[in-house]
Amino acid sequence: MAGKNKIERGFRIYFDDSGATARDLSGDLVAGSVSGGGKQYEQVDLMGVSEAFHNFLANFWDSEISAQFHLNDTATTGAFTVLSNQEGGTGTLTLQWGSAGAAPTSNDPEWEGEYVLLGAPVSFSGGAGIMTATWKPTGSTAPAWGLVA
Amino acid sequence: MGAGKNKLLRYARFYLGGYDLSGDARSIGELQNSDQAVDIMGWSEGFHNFIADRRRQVGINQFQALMNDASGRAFDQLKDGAATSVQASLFLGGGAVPAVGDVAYGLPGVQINEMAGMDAQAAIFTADFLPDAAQYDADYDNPFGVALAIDESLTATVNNSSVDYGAQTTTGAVAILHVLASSGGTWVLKVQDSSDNAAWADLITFSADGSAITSEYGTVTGTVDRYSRFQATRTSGTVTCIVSFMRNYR
Repeated sequence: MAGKNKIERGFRIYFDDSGATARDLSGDLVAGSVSGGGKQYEQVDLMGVSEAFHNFLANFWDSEISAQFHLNDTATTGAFTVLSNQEGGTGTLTLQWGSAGAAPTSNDPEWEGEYVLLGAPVSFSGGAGIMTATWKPTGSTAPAWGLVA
Repeated sequence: MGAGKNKLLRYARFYLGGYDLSGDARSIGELQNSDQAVDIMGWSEGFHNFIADRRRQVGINQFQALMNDASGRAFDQLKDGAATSVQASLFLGGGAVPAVGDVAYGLPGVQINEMAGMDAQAAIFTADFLPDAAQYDADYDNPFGVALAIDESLTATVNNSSVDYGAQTTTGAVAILHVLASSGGTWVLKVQDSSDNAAWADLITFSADGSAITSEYGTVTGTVDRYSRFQATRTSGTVTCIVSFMRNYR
């Protein structure tokens, strides 16, 4: 259902495992830790000396995504299992926003593309092991906004 | 408790050069495991796109321990340790003290620093560990693995429980042994693999014979079968050792 009703409870993140199977990592996602989705353009400042204010054009864009996950080593599906075997690897990364706290469903917003997982180092927060995963776009096809199928 | 999102700091264990420093450990910064991004964007593509540089950054960052100067404890082991080669293993117990199969981080490392300080009025000592060029081996490409042997006193020949990786791998593996205690006896300490969890072959045989406190780094090239386990064969005495086993996937 379209509307200003996209809350974290309805957010989902999927990434391919080393066998190119999409894995839902949302159950291990640390609340409030996701950063990214969408485009960040480089700001080119074209202000001239005589102009009164900085004025810009947008140049190339980037789309880094980062998130923290509980260190879950459950076979096949745990975030540690999926990410530790994909470090340096590529796959489809999908972010979906469900409506009103529900799981994402048809026509809900989606950001998707091919990404390289740069790493997932482990640290401890609040006494629990967590992994901080960082992805960058890869390949010649840009990630893009779409809708959940 | 085993697998799951249950890796609490209270069940982490840190071993350095044959010594368990967990009793003095206070915090750890990061178990590093990352590549750097290489931007391969062309002008006409419009957006930055990247590949991984395949130069994995590995290390144990900001290990902090109480300044315990008793023999074999943190300060005793870390002081004067900077610039020395050492083997480090960190186990992450799954909701309980570490068990065979739990997550392990292994590092054939060089201690980069040794820094004294105060934290909440407690004297502390902090050290960083990086991969050691003197121990560099092409078979070490993944610092994360599993515990094959945990902190238990062995009094007889034992074949530990096996760990199932799910499939055979083909790009080698490494193991780090820490002998934590010994009565001075003699043992043969090995990592073995198997394709069917029934017939076993030797993968890494450690030089250490369990007669003294020590640590050792062993490697194997190429194929590693689906299952792995630790075997300790007794000739005499008792021994306490832990083994972390890290196999490569790329």
